[in-house]
Amino acid sequence: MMANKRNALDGNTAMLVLKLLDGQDMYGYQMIEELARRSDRTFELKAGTLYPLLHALEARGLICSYEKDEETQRPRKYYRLTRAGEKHLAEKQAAWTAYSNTVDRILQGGVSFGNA
Amino acid sequence: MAMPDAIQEYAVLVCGQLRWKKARPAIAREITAHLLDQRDALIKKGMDAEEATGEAVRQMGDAVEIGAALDRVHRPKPAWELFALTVLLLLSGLLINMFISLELAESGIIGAFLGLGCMLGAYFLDFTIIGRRPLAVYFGAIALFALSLYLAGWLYRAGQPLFESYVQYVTMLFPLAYAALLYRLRGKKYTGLFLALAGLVLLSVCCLRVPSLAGLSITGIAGLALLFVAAAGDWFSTGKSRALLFAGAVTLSAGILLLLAVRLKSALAAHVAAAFDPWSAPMEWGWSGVIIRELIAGARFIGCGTAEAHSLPDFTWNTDFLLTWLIHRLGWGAFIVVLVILAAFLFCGFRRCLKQTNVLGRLVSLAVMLTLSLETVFYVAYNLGFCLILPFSLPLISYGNAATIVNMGLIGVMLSAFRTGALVRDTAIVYRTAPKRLFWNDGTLTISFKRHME
Repeated sequence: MMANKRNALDGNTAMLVLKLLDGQDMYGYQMIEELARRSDRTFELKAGTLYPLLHALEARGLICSYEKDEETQRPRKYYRLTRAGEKHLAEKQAAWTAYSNTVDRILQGGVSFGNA
Repeated sequence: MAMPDAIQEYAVLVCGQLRWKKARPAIAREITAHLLDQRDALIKKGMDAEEATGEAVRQMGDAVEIGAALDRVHRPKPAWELFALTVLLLLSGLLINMFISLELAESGIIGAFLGLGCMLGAYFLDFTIIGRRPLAVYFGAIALFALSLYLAGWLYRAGQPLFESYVQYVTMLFPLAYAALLYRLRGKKYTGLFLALAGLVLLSVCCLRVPSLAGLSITGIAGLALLFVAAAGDWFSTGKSRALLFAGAVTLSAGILLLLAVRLKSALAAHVAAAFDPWSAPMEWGWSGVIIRELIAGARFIGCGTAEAHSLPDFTWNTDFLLTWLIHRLGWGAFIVVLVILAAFLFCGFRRCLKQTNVLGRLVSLAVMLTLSLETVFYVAYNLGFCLILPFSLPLISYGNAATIVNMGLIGVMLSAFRTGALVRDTAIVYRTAPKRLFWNDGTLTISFKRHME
């Protein structure tokens, strides 16, 4: 159970969620819509996946939340990236960039570790 | 539009999986808002309301699975280390009092049990009531103080003068009351800053009315620290630097007032001078300081000190010198052990305070921790011969049932904040400042008569 939780938090979905909150506070539904829009509908995040993930990220202090009533008179829970979250995102992003660059180079036949 | 049954049922099913009941309402609100957003979006795409509701619920996924996942995240977080240290401090206090006098220890046991009852009562009481009724908490503390003062005067006239000394313990609640007031003043801009100042002045005046220098010092120092914390978080929406400047100006003014009082009042000046050099007035202000310093001068690391018996105060009734007694009779080693346990408690408490993500939890826990820390500092300073402020008590250790009960009640409130603080949401200020009454949407005018949320 613990391992699953850690995987979910350390995985790419968590990184995408943190990236969405980088610079703008958002509520759950807005995040699903925004992720779908930014990825040209490639990533359709399920609400059932998103909320447990958001709550776990909050418990780890990577994001925080507050409630705000809006014109619809419907209270919405907004999430905000914390400083710890910003740091975590930067680390994840750097690791992802290094990983994807390496994969790209391999796919393009550009990586060599020796003269076989 | 009324809330569809399917959405309500879905939220209930999700929340039913959560074992921690206090976590349920916030999650139900979030899930419901999401489903309504999804339904509205589907209606805009052309679906009818019933079909859109069904589709929104379907897209959300399995309610039991989501609820189970949320249950794994949401668990109460009791501060077990603080519970353990509280009990350890209580037992240490009873043990030391037992060495001094069995009568003192017997009476202390009653106080310890009453205190435990207060602590557990406050622990299981929802601490967010302070956020929901902040003015009632603030003025309630002042009303309690006024009532105690009135009762003390009445009993004094009836030939019962002892109750008068208990009034000062009510002032130990003032930092917590001030935290509640600050919480109420969120987003009130400059009015909020000036009301915060007025609130602190009012509490300080109450302390002067006792008069209690310990109460005034604790209320003043803790109050200013809380004001700085609120200012640093831009709690008043004036801008962080302006609020900090205001708090700085208030602190500077308080310092100047204090210096002026010492310069103008000769008795106060003599008191301050004797605190630094008790031999300057050994038969007046410096009397306690001289005795304590003589006792300490003859203390050993382990074992009874060499001070002469004629200089010993009667420890069986005077509990303001418990640490001095400990240093004299058992040695510096015993003093260090007690101080280490206290320091561990304060360290764990402050560490938890800093981890609080919501403002209410942070202000409340900080108010309690500052009260306990300042009590400790004043007590230790007094018992080492720096007799400037006559202390209330050494939290949970020195004898004094009233102080023990108040301190444990405060600890209970703080532990409640640590346990459930993760569930508290600081509602955004934006809505509060400009609640909309009229809405124009798709050719329909809506007039809202709903009172905006506190």
